[in-house]
Amino acid sequence: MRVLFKAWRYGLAVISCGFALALALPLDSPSSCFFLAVMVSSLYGGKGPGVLSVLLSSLAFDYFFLLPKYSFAMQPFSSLQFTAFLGAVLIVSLLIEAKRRAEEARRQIDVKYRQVSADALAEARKSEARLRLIIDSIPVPAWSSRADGATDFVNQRWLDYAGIAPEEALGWGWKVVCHPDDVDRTMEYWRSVLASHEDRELEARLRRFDGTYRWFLFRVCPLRDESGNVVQWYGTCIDIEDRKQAADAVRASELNFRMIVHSIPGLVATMSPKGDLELVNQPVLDYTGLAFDALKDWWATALVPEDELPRVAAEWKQSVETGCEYDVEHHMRRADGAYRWFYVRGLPLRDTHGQVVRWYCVLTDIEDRKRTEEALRSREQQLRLMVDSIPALISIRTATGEVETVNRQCLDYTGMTVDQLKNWPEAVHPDDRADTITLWKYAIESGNPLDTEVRLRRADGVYRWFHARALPLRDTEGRIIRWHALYVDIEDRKRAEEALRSSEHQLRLMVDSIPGLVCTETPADGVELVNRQFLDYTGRTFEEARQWATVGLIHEDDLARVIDHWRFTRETGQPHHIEYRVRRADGVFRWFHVRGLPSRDSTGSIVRWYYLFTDIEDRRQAEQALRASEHHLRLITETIPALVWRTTPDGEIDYVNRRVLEYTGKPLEHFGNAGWLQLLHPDDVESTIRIWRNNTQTGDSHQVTYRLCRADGTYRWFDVRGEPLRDSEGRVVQWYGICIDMEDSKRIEEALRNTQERLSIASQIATVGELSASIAHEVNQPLTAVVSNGNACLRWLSAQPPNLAKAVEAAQRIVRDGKDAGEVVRRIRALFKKAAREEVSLDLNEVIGEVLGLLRGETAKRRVMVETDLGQNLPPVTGDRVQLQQLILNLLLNGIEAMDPVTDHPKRLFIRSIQQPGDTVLVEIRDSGVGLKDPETVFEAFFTTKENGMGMGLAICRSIVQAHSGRIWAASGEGPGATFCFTLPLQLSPVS
Amino acid sequence: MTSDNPIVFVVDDDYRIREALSSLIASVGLRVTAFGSAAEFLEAEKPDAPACLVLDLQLPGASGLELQRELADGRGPPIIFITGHGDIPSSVRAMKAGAIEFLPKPFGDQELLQAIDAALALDRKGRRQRAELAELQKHYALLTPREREVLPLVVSGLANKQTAAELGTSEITIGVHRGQIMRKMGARSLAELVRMADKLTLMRGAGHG
Repeated sequence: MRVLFKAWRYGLAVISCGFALALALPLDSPSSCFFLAVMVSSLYGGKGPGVLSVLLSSLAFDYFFLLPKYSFAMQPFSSLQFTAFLGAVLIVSLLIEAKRRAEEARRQIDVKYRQVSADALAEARKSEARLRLIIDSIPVPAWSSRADGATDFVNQRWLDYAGIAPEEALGWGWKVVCHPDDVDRTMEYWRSVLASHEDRELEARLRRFDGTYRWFLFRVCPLRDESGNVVQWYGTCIDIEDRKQAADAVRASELNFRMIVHSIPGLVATMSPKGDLELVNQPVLDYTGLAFDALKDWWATALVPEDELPRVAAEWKQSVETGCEYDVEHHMRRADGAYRWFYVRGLPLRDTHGQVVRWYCVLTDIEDRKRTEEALRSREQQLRLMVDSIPALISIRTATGEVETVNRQCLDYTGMTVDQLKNWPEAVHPDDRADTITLWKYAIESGNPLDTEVRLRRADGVYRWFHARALPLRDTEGRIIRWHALYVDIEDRKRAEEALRSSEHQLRLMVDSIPGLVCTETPADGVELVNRQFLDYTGRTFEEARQWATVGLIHEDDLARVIDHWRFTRETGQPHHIEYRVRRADGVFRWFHVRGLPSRDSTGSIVRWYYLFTDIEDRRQAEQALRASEHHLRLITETIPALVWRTTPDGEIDYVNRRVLEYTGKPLEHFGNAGWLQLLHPDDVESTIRIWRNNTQTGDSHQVTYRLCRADGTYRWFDVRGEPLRDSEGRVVQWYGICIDMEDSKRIEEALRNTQERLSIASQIATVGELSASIAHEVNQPLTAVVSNGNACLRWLSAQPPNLAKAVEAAQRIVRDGKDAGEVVRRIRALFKKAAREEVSLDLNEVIGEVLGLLRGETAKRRVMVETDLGQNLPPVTGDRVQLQQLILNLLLNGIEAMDPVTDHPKRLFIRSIQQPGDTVLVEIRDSGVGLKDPETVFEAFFTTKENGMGMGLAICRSIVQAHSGRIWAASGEGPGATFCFTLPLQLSPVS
Repeated sequence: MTSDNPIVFVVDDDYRIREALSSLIASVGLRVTAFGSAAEFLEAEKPDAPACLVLDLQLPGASGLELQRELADGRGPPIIFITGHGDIPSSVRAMKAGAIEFLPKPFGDQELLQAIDAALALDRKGRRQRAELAELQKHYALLTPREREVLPLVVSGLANKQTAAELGTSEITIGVHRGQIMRKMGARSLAELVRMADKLTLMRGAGHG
């Protein structure tokens, strides 16, 4: 490669020289071309090729251009030329060489430098990655910003905390995570840092990715260049939320404490161990009206009166020195100059070593207590006076119970002297004596007060009850020094009490036995008493009853109402009157009617409430049921699609339902005073009045039909029925009635009747049409016989010799068959005849025979075997012959047609007639056809199973049977086929 | 005409028709027997004489057409239908099934009597043919199984040599069979034998249905 390259370089020299030569020859400017060649060779070839090109150029120059041309020989001028050329070429070559070398050297240096810088870059990158890792992993959000304050880097921790993208945080973008309240402060801080170039701290809140703000301590540190200019700022944010919270808590608790101290309604002061005032609360300042500084030298102020000051100071000094509690009463001047008694108590707070850390003093205003004490003392004297004057017996005894002295009343009552009274049991009723002595003994021994009732003898010998109370008087050491006994005459009260007790007993008996819950209540104490029934019913204790509002005694839906009412009556004194549900012991709530009345004392103020609870559950239920049923009934009455009315016994309308008003378009008033008659059709008024009068007199329920005028003026037929309501004695109290609109049904009925009549005729004709083929057959048969017989007769007569006997026979048959044909024609005519209904006495068997005769062709054609079982001596029925024929014809045809599809068994049509018990004739027609799916509906009009049937045949049968007061039914018989039966009564009642 | 003493059967459920027709037919000197239903007719003894049947189309129980079907085995007498309804479908069916005549009631005596004559003539011819066939069958019964095999080949016009090749036997044997067949069948010429075989085949075909 290298060799190749070298060869190429030398080749280049040769080629360039060749090229220069080729160019120089025509141009005839050899020197510049060769210079060029030498330059190229030196520049791209190097030193060797340069020399080579110089050599070649020189030779070529010499050979081709110097005179003589094409020879290396030189002329003198030429040699000068040559030398100049050579020199120039050499210089060019050397210059180029020098340039090339310099270039080479530079390139080498460049390459080396590049390598070095690449190494350095790699190193730098590595270290940066390390740094970044460190920065990203230090557990503190960190950032850096440019000298102008714009952030140019935040670490991963920062981003993680704030939950925003790095781009968002850069520049001034970090402001978005700053707490809105802190933004301004932060910016100011940051500006001051930038301005002063000093690092400072700031506390501000930053938003976490979840939206909560936490407190951070911002620290920033400048990076300076050599000249001391700040080039970069580095900062960290340290989470101080927890510390902050703790600090806040401390501050809060301190504040709290301070608040407590300031707000307690006492005077509090704290002192240093040496006794210097440290703190006083607001009440102290308020009370004294002095500033805290003034209070520090409290002894110098007139806070404590001068006469007390030495005592107070001494005590305080002693406490401070010894560490004993400070406990002094003294006066203290109030802001207005008045002195009040204070009880000052100071307690030392010690540290763990027992050293006093602080004194706490509480100053309590005891002015009022002090005054009371003094008042008491001054009143003692007065009491002594009172003792003698109070209307009760007082004796004062020694600690051992001996009577020392008594008041005047005592002497007056007993009529004994003090000395006599020393033997006091004398004055006690013999029955009470022993007990009293025992009680006294016990009281003296135990020191407990004595409290008993005892009878004392009056001077006149009468014993009266006294309430005795004795209290020991003790000295400061608690020893009993004296007993004071007080006897109050309670004879009258006792009597009253006894009377009361007996009356109360009676009352309680009464209260406990009345069948209601009773409860009394005093305005002051609430429920005072409840009776046995109350406790039994509620299953609660008396205590629970006292808490009636909270123990679920009253239904929760009622409670608010009850309490409202209770409050109302309590406030106004109005009688309590309310119904609510009270819980029974088993948890069932029952309705009670509660009445409460207050009892008042002589001044008119309420002393007690008396409540009576009456169980009204049953009544209430009955009431509700009644109301519901009434509502229901009213609803029915108002909604039934009929006109409903009510009248007084004499026929005055006093109620009509809504439909009446709607129908007539008249108000209720219009109906009164016989006004309703005006709504009747004029033709119906008279008959209606007649019936109505008659019925109101007799009290019979009535039924009438009349036309009633509708609001639009048209009359419609109504079926009206009225029933009387009677009281227990059978007197008519009210008439109730309804009018049912029968206009439509009347019309429909009529239309139906018409239709059925027409259909009956149509069906008759249709039947005949259907039968025409059979009828033709019926006529054909006898005709055929007649013709054949006629021919035979002729032949017998024309025979040689004529057979007269045979001819006569044939002629006889002609006559007979002709009659037959006539009969057939007569029957057909009867069928077609649309005669008016004709009631005649009929033999049903005869009718059956006639119809069967008519049907003979049909049965033959359809190959139906007809069997009959016609009852012997069947009594006649009354009816219309044609209709009954039609009936039987229809039924038989029906059976025959039902057997049309039958191929697998013989077609049998069975007809039976029989007299039945109950004076009816039964006709049964049984076929072996397809049978009936639903025997109930076959008689419905338009019911048909046949393709071309109208479905009227059986419907007509039914109407015929019904018109004859008979009955018709169908059944799927035994085996295949159906059975149709009808019965007709023997003696028909006249048909209207 | 009356030498063979023919008989006319009348079947009609209407006694008036029976009486009238019996009288009419008897007046031309024919024997008449009347029945009220198809069943009665089928049960009755019938004399071996030319006969015909005057049948009412509508009968209770089995109808006239059914009776016709029952008698359609060839031995029954020709039938003349009479009907009171004369509907076209049933008359077509009746004629298709081989009825001689279809007379709607009422009909004239001439029409009926002519129909009866035609029917009796037909029956006579039928009876004759049946007798011939019976004769042929009697002859045919005499043939051995091998001869019955040979017969169809012979009458189909094959020479003895061909027949022998067909049945894999000698020409001489076939010649012997042929002679026997001619003798047993009583045929005087091959042509006669061919005619006999033809009739037998017809008969056999009819027999096989």
